[in-house]
Amino acid sequence: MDGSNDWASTILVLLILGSFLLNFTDIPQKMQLWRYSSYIRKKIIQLTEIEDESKRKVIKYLSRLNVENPRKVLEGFIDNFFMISPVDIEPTDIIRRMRHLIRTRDDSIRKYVEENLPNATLVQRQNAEVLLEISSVLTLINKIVKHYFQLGLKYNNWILMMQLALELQQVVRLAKAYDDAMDSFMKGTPIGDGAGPLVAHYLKGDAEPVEISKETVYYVTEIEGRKVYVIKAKGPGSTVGWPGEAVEKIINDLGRSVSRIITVDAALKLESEKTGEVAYGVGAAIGDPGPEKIAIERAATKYGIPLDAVVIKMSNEEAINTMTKQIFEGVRKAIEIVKKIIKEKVPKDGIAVVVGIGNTVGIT
Amino acid sequence: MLDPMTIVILAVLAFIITYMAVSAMKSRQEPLKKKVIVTQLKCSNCGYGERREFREGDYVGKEVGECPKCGGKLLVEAIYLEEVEGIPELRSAVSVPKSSQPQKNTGRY
Ligand SMILES: [Zn+2]
Repeated sequence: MDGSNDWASTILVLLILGSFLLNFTDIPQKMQLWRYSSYIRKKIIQLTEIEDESKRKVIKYLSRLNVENPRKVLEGFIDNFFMISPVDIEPTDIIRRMRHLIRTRDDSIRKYVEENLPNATLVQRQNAEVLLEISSVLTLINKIVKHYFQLGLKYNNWILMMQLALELQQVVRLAKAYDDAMDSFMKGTPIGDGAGPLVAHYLKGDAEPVEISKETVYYVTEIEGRKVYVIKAKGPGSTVGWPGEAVEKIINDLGRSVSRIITVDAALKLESEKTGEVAYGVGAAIGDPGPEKIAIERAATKYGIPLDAVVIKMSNEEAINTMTKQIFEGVRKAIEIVKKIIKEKVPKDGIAVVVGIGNTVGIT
Repeated sequence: MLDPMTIVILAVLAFIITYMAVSAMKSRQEPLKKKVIVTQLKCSNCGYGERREFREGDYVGKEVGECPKCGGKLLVEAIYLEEVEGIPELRSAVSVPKSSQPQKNTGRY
């Protein structure tokens, strides 16, 4: 045998052996499982760090407000206050049931924070609520990731492991965004989601607020010679208010004399879109689970009032973190669009209702 | 002449090392860009404007003092996050949350 024949047969043997291992054993899958699980383990450590960091932030914030046992307040909050969605195979009344559940939950959280932070101001309490909620969400995210990880290990489910590993990059990024968002709420700066309330703030001018629903105010002002009711959550604490109920009340008072309802809100951008882009369309621009949105739609439909939507686009992360300059410039553009709609579509003696939807933290 | 087997092994090794080196380089984080939270002030009377770094307690619509020009009410007009390159007077910057910067998926698991 010469040398070339020798290595050819070696390669042939290797090929046959290799294809046998690849096709008729679980070794490749086991290797994948091992590789993906070690990657996930690393990411879980990262998620745990983020979770601990968020807890430290809450405790720091609460101790700054002279809470006696901040750790106990935090631990009493996490894992509690979940909400079970209403029955949906019998949809009659589902909105009323859902609104009832949401408000019950909000009330019990408010009460919990009030009891534990008796000396804090309203704004501090509202911001503490959000901080507790974020910390709670981060704990939940970590738990869910660990759940799927352990399931995958338990049943040697390498597909589950692979899916989890592929998703995790995004999950960790979201968790980081939530953690960073806590700084915004601790400082009390406006966030991206505050674009709607900020538009309302600029439109209202010097008008005085009138409380109409819980944590929700309206202003009566004049824009382009038309009478305009501007609705927004009451700032500068962290709250979204009850804009749907506020619109319902105002429309029921004013009836057909309203010529136009304009909702302004932050909207999730597509990856290819730029932050701060502004677009307008038809409908209620509001991202609540349902009750507030349907209240606006019903009020508009009842009197046949056209419903306009103006949205300012941003990513998920930008929506919960300190407002960026691009979003602020988007707010400027949105104001011009709202004014244009009022000028072109509301008659001189007509009334317009403008609703700034979103979290009003850092904006009066 | 080199043994063909050695050539194959060397080629495979070279490929693996290059692959690992390239993905290690990709995964290196980009340096933090400096950003700062800016508070923009405006006089409600004469329109005089001013910018400074955000201070805790600032909120949009807050009255922060008197206008140095006409003595009118100086209000917080806007608060936003801005890259520091454009604002020389605010160069004593704070660092930015990492998540607000684009992160690349390195594709390594
Ligand atoms: Zn002035």
